[in-house]
Order: sequence, then structure tokens, then C-alpha cells
Amino acid sequence: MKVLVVEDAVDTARFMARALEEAGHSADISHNGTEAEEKARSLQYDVLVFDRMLPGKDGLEVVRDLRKDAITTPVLFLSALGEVDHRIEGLKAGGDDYLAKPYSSAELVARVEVLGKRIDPDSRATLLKLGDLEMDLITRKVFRAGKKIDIQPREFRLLEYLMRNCGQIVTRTMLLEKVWDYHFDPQTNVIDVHISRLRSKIDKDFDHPMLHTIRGTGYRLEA
Amino acid sequence: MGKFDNIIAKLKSKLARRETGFRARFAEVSRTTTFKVARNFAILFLTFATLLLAYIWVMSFGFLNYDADRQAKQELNALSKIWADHGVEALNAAVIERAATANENLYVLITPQGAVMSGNIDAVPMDLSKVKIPDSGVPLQDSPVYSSSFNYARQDGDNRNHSARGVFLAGADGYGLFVGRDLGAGFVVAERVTSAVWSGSLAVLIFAMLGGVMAARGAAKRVDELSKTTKKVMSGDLSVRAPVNLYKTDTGDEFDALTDDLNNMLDRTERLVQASRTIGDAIAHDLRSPLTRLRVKLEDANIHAQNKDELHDALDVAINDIDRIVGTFNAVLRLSRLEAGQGAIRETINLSETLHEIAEIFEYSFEDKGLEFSSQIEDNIIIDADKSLLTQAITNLLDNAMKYTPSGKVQLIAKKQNKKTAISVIDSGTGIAPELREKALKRFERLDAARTTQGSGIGLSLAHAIAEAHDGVLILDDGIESENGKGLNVTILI
Repeated sequence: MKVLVVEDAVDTARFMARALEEAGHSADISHNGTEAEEKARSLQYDVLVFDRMLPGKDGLEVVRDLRKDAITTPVLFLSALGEVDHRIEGLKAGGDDYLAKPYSSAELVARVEVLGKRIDPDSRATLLKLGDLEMDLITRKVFRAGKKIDIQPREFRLLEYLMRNCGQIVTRTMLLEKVWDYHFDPQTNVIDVHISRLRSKIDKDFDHPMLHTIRGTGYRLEA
Repeated sequence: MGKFDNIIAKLKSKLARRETGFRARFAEVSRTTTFKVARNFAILFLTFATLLLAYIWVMSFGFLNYDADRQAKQELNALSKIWADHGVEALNAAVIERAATANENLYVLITPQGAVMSGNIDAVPMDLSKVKIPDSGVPLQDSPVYSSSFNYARQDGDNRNHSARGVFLAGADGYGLFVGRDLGAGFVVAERVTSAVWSGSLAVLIFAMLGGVMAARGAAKRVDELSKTTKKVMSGDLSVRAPVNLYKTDTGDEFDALTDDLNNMLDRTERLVQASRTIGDAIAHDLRSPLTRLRVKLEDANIHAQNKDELHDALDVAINDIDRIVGTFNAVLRLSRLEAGQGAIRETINLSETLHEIAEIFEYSFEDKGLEFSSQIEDNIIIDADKSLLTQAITNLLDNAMKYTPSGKVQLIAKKQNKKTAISVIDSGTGIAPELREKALKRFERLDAARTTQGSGIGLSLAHAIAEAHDGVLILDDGIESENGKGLNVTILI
């Protein structure tokens, strides 16, 4: 995956690029909004990572202009402004995801990877399949190895998100945001509890586990 | 002598000072709205009075003069006919005859030498030097006629100075005939009216200025009140407010609206200033201790770690600490924003659904901790609220319930009460003693129990601020009594 990292703090940009490279991606760095816009227009990237406040041209403005010219490369905004209204501003400008500073490099990489896969959340598919795990989005039934699994509505949404992003690491914060629409961290570890419930339903009594915990980062669903 | 000079000098300087003082005061007064409005009123009325006077003048004197001119000319025509037909002697006889019985008409016939031949006044009341005697042979009716306006003293014992108009005809033979017409009583009336209008205008002018001052003073007084308020605010006292017009029933004029706006603006400014004042304290209070702990840990690892693994472990712990500190920081920021009256986005939400979702999320966590969790949520509670904030408030309360309830149960209850909605989180935990409850809601007052338990302890203050941002309240009460204590019932009433 080819990523453009636009961040004016030189150190931070370098660490970000290194984290992405260690995860197997290539990363270009730009410290300036105007330069970043040129790069984004002339080169093919899979994901653009934009700081909001940049020298040259403000990140929001650059993305707004790119979207005006039908450049649809997914954009992840990074910002020290993390309140709900800031987030809405970022999404309105054409961002696809918004991450408040400070963040962990694992969180950054996970989000970039999910964005780079360009999963359409409104995808028309009514049946999701991963290995021997099947999910019918219309009848809202889940089967593993042909065996029906009894599942709660909330678990269904959690599983749907994991299936759509199968093979990707998804972090706790991502689950909170995308599945529960929570933009703050509850102190109670609600996500872990839900994952362990879900795991006990889809993995217990089967030959191999599909839902893995990635230590210190999040989870991954694999065939 | 020297002493005398001294006194004079003193007096002079005193006078000079008084004069400059007066000038300064005048300059100050002349800048005020009261002065300007009064002045404009005066100018307006003065213009009006002048125009009125001019009109009266034209209508009265103009008419009188015109009438007198017409009659004088008529008489002159009649006489000039006699003069032309029968000569000067006949004219002289006619003038003598008419002057004897005349009352309003005035006659003078003069010889070429300028002597009066006949008539009822002493001389021709006009400057004759400009009169040109026509060339001989020019008929009388073609000779020029000169008009004049004059005053004269009557010979009939009426001592008043009379005004009159007259015409003079010079003949080619050198004789000259003057016929005048007294303006009569009409003139006196017109004069009286004019002077009445003049003095009336003066009165009107005074009233206009008084009216202006009164009208302007009302407005200026209100402006003064506002300006007094803003001056106090500028000097640093943000708690003053402009006096609101309480006694008048016809409130709602522009000044009331302005006063209202000013006061609302001050309310908001005061809140913002207070928030920015406390945010520094809050950050220091809520973040310094965890940062201190973090620093100690890192320093300790740096000095005492025996191997790489120990160092890595210490760094992992440090990263976790930082995440927690960031969480606290976010909460402090959100709280400050709320207290500054910012950050709540109201929309119509189905509270019942929101609460069911929250209950669902927490259900398993309570179960895992061995607590009995139940929710009683009335159906279809529709309210205007910030969903995200309200969710956070209730999540905080459930977090707290989980933390401070070692055993027993936790309930989430929502119902309509009159026109309000009550959302309660009730637990069978240790509870908060009644005398400590007020303290517990205050930002900087964390209870001892909270200090020893992990977490920022800011959750309850944040829930309180969120309730207030929804024009609601947060009430603390006894919960479910158990071996742990009296339990706690936190109700958000919005």
C-alpha cells in the first residue's frame, strides 16, 4: 500500500512513516500543505494521511479542493482538535476517518489499512463469507461450519464489522467508533467483554480459532 | 501698591481659569447627544418660524403695498388727465380741492423750482435728484412714474408716524405731481402680527430647545447607564449588569433590547473568562499528579531496570499511563467547554433506544464482575439532547457504579416525570454520605474513596456539567442498602 504522510512535525512524520513501512507499506512524507496537494494530485496513493494544521495550506482546505476535483483517495485526518464538532468538520471536508492526537502507531497503521482496502460500508452483498463462517445480512443469521450460531443484535453488528475488515487489525477505539458510535473511551473495558462473548460463540467448539487478540492493539478476524 | 497689583493678577488668573473651565465644559456638553438633539430642534423650529414670518410678511405687507400703489396710481391718472387737458392751473385747483377733503390720499404739486404749490404734506417724500424731466413735447401719459415708500407725520394731530406708498409724475413743463396713499390701519395690524410672530418664535424656540433637551435626556440617560456598566466591566468587574427597566410597562424598546443583549453578552463573557481561568487550575489539578507518577516510574526504570525486558515493561506501563492521562485531559477539556456553555449539540433523540444500547454494552461487563444488572427503561422517551454527551454522562455513572460496587446490584432506570425525564443509576455500593454529596459534584473535590481507586474521578463532575448543559440537574441520593453501605442513586433530571 502506498501512503502519503502529511505532517509538519519532522520527527512525528518520520516515526509514522517508519511504523507504516514496518507494517509492509511504502510511505512518502510531506511537511507542507501546498506540496502535499501537488503530490496527491500527481502520484497514485492508496491512502492520504493529513494533519489538519499545516504550513502552506490547511489540511482541511487541501482535502476539500482534492474532493472538488474528484480525487477520491481515502483520507485519514490527524488532529490535535479532537472534539465531536472538529471531527464533523473533518468528515465534511471530505475526510474518511478522523484520529485525534495523540495516537498509537498501531492505531494509525490499523486505520490506514482499513481505509486502503476501500471497503464500502453500504456494499450490496447480502451474504458475507470467511472460511467456514457465514453471515446472512437479511435473515440476520450466522453459521459456522453449517452450524447455526445464536447471536445478539449488537454482537451481529460487531461481527459484521469484523467480517468486512477480515484479515485487518481493528483497534478497540475503532470498534467503539464504528460499531457503537462512541467517541470517548469508557473506563470499563466493554469492548474486551463483548469480544470474549463473541469469541465464545464463534470459536468455542470449533477446530481452530478465527478471532484473534493482537496484544496491546486490538483484534483480527481470520479464516 | 504692589499688594494691589497682586490682587488684580490673582483675580485675572482666576477669571482666566474660570473661562477655560467654562470652555472645556462647553466643549464637553456640546459633544453630548442632548446638546445635539436640542440644537437640531432649535434649528428646525427657527427655520419654520422664519418661513412663517416671511409668509405673513408677503401676505400682509405685500397686499397692503400693492393695494396702496394701485389706488395712488388711479388718483395720479385722474389728476394727470386734468393736467394734460387743462394745464397746471387746473391741476393746482384740483389738488387744492382734493387735498382739503382727503384723508388717506396725499398730494404735493411742485413748481419747476421745487417749491410746493399745493398739497397736504410739506414736501415730496422721495429723492428727486434721480427724477428725469422729460424732453419738451413728450405727452404726459408717456412720462415716467416713480414709486416710493415712506413715512410721514400727519397734520391732523395724529402723532404716530404713518407709512405710505406714493407715485411721482414729472411733466415736460418742469412741474411735478406726487400722489401718495396711506397704508392705514392695515399696516398697524400687520406690524403687530409681525412682532407677535417674532416674539412667538422666540417662545417657540425656547420650547423647542427644552423639548429637545427633554427628549434627548431620556435617551442619553439610558445610554449613560449602559456606558457606566461597560466602564465598570472594562475596569475589570465582570459581574456588573446594566439595570433593566423594571418599572415601566411599555418595555421592549430599542434600549431594552440593547440592555438585554449587553447583559447576555456579559453573562457569556463572564462564563468564558471564568472557564479559561479555571481550565489552567483544572489541568494542573487533574494532570499534575498522574504526570508526576509517570515521571517517577520512568525515572525509576531508567535507574533500576536490570535488563531490557524490565525496561520494556516499564515503557509499556508508561504508555498505558499516558493513554489514561490523555483520557483525563479530554474529559477536563470537555468539562471546561461545557462550563463555558460550548459543545452541546441538541437534536431530537429517542432516549429509550440510546439507553437500551448503553445497557446492552455494559450488561456483560457487570455480569463478568458478578454484579446483578437490570434496566427499566420506559418506551419512546423522545427528548432534545446531545446524544453523544448524554451517552458519556450515563456511561460515566455506570463506570462509577462498577468501580464502587463490590457486590450486589446496579440498576439503570429511565422514566418520564411530569414534563421532565429522570435517568437514574442506582447501585448497592458504598455510597456517598449526605454531607459529602455537594462536595462530590464539585470539580476539584474528589472524595477519598476516589483518590485511592484508579481513574480520574472526574466522571461525576462531567456528568453534572452535562446535565446542566441540558438545563437539567444531577441529584445524589441513597441507593440500595447492603453490607457495603447505603448505596448510591444518581439521577439526571432533564
